[in-house]
Amino acid sequence: MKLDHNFIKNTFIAVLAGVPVTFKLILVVLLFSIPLGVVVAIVRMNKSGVLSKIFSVYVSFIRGTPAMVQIYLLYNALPVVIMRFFQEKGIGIDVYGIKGMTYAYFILTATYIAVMSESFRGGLSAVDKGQLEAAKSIGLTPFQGYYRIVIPQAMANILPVLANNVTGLVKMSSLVFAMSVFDITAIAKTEGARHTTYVEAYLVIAVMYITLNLTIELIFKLLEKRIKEYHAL
Amino acid sequence: MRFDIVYLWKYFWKILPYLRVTLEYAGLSLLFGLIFGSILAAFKLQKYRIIRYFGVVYTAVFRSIPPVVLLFLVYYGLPQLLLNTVGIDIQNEEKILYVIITISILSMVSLSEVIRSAYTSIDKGQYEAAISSGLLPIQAMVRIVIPQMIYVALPNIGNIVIYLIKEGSLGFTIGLVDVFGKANSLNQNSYSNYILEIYTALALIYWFTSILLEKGMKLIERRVSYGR
Repeated sequence: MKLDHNFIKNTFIAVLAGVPVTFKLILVVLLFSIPLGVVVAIVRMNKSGVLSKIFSVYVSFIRGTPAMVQIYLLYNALPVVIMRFFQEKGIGIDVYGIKGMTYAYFILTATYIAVMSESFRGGLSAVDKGQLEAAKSIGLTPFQGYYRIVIPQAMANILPVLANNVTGLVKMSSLVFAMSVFDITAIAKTEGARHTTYVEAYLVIAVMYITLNLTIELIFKLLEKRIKEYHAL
Repeated sequence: MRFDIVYLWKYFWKILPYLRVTLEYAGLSLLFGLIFGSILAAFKLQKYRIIRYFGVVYTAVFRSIPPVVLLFLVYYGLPQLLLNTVGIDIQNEEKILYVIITISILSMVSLSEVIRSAYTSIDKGQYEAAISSGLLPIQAMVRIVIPQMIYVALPNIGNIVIYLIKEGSLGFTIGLVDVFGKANSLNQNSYSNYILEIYTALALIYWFTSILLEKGMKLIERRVSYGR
């Protein structure tokens, strides 16, 4: 099979412009989805209340529908309807002016709050309920109880699943090409189409994604080792 | 905000028949994934390091690649590769073949992990007891070990099936007409007038399918755990 090495080099250089976009996306999504995922997990674990049920439905929807469908709903379908509504009422807000990147942040974070909360639910419920009760009985507020006592203990359980989630996020970030965001995959698509060197372009980004994900898994494995040593004390 | 429930209903029933395509590639990919995943799991359990490393590297590579990228690679690259190496011409095959190949590879990797952990979780004493009571190795595997593995692996396999269906939705990017592809063409034909209704119907179809699958898996789990 003939692979044009020149194209591989050129595509790689072109794709590099998309790497910061992907990184920004991943970091922002993780920044918001981890804390909010913990909150949703805790709310769902205390099964009482309307909020818990709403969150359950929300998580079920996110897990049951493909990311692409969510993207099409929120990026393609919803703005059209909202714009028609605004035009009828004479409101001058331009929904079409919102950049694709904003949608990307929003949609990926919404998905990952659900994903994280599922992982955290498992890890948090593995921690003995007595820990939280003991914390409350010595005067800590629930927030302090969770933050200082429960969550650190849950960390050892959560880390492997968290590694999986982060690599999943990297993979899901490749879908933002559908929102006109110029990330790695989007640039590869356009570069490939330019000279029909599709295979070279996608091979380049395949290697990039694989390297990135393997590095992330390595980092998490090291973290897990550290935490295990800490727990063994 | 105009959202016509009547059209939602109408489009729901227009899109639903194409669920058959989705279930086709999901089912076939699950089948291939189980077969090749078992082989890959066996590789990872070998004592010979080379075979084991091949399995580990294969798993690491295909677990780290985004499904879209793999799909595009398979779609654009595989026909050329096969033509130049083995001389098989698949350029005129249906698009669903590429989706099946891609999803099979992805599911094979996940399933190999599930099968491997299920296998190692079964007490070796079960196999030894079976052998010592006169069963052939293959009988011991099929009648004693594998049924216990199924019980352990079932929840994870259920998750993987839902994952298959969701990742397969990307087939529309190469032109496959499954539920997603049909929704797209319906939307184009109606000049995006009913875009919200169409994609909401699509989302509902996926959501209901995944809920049904979850309930189905729970039923199967209960059946399989009879007697525990």
